[in-house]
Amino acid sequence: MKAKYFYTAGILMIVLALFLSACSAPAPADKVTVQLSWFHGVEYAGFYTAIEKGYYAEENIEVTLNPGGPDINPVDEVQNGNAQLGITSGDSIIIAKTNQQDFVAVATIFKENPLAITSLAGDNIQKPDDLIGKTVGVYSLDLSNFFDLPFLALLSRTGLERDSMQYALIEDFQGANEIKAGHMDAMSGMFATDQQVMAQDAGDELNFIYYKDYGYDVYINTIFATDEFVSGNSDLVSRLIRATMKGYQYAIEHPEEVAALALTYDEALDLNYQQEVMKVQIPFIDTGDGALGSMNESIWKNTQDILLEFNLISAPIDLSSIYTNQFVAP
Amino acid sequence: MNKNQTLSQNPAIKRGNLFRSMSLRNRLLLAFILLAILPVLITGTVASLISAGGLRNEAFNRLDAVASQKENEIKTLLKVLQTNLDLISEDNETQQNILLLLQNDTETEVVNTRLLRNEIASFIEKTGYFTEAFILNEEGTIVLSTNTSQEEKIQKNQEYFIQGLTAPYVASPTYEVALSNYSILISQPIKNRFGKIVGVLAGRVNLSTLNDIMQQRSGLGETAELYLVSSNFAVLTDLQHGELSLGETYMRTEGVTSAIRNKTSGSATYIDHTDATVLGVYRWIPELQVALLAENDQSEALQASTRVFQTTVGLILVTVLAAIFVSFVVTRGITSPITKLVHIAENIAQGNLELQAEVSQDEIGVLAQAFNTMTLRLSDLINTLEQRVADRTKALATTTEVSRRLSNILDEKQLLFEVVEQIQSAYDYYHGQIYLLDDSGETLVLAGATGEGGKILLERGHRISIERGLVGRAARSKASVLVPDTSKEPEWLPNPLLPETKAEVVVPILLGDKLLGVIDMQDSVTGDIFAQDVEFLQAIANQVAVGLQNARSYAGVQARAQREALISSINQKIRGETTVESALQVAVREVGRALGGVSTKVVLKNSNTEKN
Repeated sequence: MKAKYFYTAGILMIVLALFLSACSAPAPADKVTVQLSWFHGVEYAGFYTAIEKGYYAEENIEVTLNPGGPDINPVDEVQNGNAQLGITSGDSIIIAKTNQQDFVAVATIFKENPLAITSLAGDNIQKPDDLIGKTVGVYSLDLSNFFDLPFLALLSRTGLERDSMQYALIEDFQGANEIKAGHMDAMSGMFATDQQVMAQDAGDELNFIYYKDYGYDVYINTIFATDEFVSGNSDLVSRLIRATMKGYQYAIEHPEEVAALALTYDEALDLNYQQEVMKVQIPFIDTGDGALGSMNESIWKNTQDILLEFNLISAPIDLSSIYTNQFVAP
Repeated sequence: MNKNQTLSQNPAIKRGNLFRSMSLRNRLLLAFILLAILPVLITGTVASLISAGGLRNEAFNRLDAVASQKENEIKTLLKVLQTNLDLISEDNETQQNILLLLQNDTETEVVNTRLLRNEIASFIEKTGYFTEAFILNEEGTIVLSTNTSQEEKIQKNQEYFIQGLTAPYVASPTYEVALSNYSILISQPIKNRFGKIVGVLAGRVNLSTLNDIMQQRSGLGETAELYLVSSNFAVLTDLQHGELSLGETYMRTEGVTSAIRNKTSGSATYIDHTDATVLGVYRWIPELQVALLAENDQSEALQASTRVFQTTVGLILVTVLAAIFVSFVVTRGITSPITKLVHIAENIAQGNLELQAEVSQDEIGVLAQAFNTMTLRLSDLINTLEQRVADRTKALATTTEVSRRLSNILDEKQLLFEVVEQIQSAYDYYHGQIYLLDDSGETLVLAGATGEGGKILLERGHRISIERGLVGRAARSKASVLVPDTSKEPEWLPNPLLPETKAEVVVPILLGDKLLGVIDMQDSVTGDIFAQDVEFLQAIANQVAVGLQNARSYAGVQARAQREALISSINQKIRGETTVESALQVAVREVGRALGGVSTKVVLKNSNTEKN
């Protein structure tokens, strides 16, 4: 009889010990590397904020941010496993899909595409028609560069003739320098956010013709991962996106504070510049309708249409497989 | 250890007996103040709570009414906007032109777009609701807008266009980067005369229209806020207080969050953007996907209640002051006589019996009276004690003196006389006398007495049977008899020669167990003879016994010496005779002379000679 009691007590104690150890020792944090689309900057403020404010820690995630650059393709980095998540444009994801690289966009940083044709306000270039007869700065004179795609799309959608204007190669991407130097009247493919601040700093006022208003409506910086990773780690992705979007929400409500965080990742950055960019990019991150990070099917469809039109893909794909809103707050 | 103990005990004592350790005055003071404050505090608190509850409800009701009114105004506005949009194409010619414009196939300028644009522009200017009105074709391209820079823009991904293709639609406030502001878009399908949808007519409404509605604050208080918040938490209309940049200031108060997160309406008390506590009513307006907030500072809403509270605080202050004053006066009245008594008691403790307490009419007066009596008695007692110590000292000296004298006096009579005189004068008695037991052992003979009375009694040869009186009792019992009050003693025998006698003490003169006599002392004051006196008298009596013995043995020795000298002289005279006859003659004569006999005979016998 006594021996039986001892056994019972022993088992109970072991169970209790296991239970306690399960309680007291938390599971090790999930380690995730995110491949940024470009060099460090406030565009990624939500990630910085989530790290620095401990939003990732709350979700038991340890995030490493790998900066991008001209020679780094986030799609490849995620494909070869150097990073679990990456940031890239919606068209890149569709193109990758046709190359049998199955990615899923789980959120977008900018809900509006900030690419624009910039010109000095004094030149009064307000809409595509105003470009007729003017010289436009482009990435390649024959418009074959991938970054000239928005311009090609704009021409196509507005019905403007390619020959109705002249082209010049952009060499200086800083604000309106090239325009002021007389090399060109407008510059294509610029981030309205950056250019706006640069021009402001130089004392210039710019006009913007947003590509999104003329048919090139494409998500520019979606957060993506491989199909396999997303389906296998949906809880982790959910926690990660929740924390990241919480970071962006904090960022747009405290732009000056979080801009300073970017400097901890790249001390060469200029604080004032980062703060200004952070402020002007708020309307692109938060448009007022729908949750932060959420995406629209019509924009994905539009993206695909452009790619089809310019033969960058040969056949339409199943758009529902390319993005999901399941991880962003309703 | 000890140090530790005291350290650990002290705080406990302090805490436990804080009230008790306070002075009487402070305790009374505290009690008075508490008594004064408590009722005011309780009634004041209850009153302000009740009024606060009422005011809170009232404030919520008012806010709710305003919120309802604003909600209705907004909904009405949306209807008006849709009607207005409808009215743009009301005119037949305009409608015709719009449809022609949307017929893409004609390259030729069948429609004067400038004219149409101007027509629409003048219409929206007249109504004043829209900042821009525009027409989109089926592809979502803006084919005509009152804002020409907007023309040719492709809106096919925009919700208002997609929805507007099927039915009238109101888009939630959205930020337009090209225009750098938030605006509301109203859209509706354009149908051709066959009912086919060929495009979308849309109107842009500036947020200032909503702002105007929200700024008419319909009788809300100064601190009240009435504003709209977009579903992304951006504030859409102006605030009365706090820095604001429309569309860029985010608001995450409890009210805003409740409305947007839960898409519900309700009310709550919470902290607002200026960190003030507000009573807030929030409403979710689904038509516009915005939250409507009506808030009022709690402090303003509850001002009346705050006034009640302030009045209470004021009353408390006044009553505290009054209580302090009254209690000060009253406690002074109570404690100052006590303090004086304490002062007197301290003086008494130090031996000063001179002070007298002030006597008032109350209980403390009684206490003071008792105090004074006590002081007086103490003073008397101490004085009496001093007198008695002096008396005792004198008695001791008397005893010593009597002893000394007794050893010198061998004459019995003189001894007894000296003894009574000494005792009577030393103890200041009224009368003193001494009796000796006669040979019969039945009668006490007065042997010494003081005063005139004593002299007469002595001359009379006063004697008394041992069966009678106090003297007799002492002699019989061979023990002292003390009668502090002779009037209460039935055995006492009054003596007309000693009329003042009020108290009497009798001590036996004992030599071993043998009674020689008694010493009898009488006093003219009742109760003035004490037990100590008896002790001293007994001590003197014992000395007297020894003295008497001495005197008597001296007298005996003297008598024997005289007798032996007589015998010797008779012997010599007898020896001087030569004959038996003459010798016998001389012997008879001398013996007879010596013995004082009348006749003396000598009888001779043969073998036995006897002499008488």
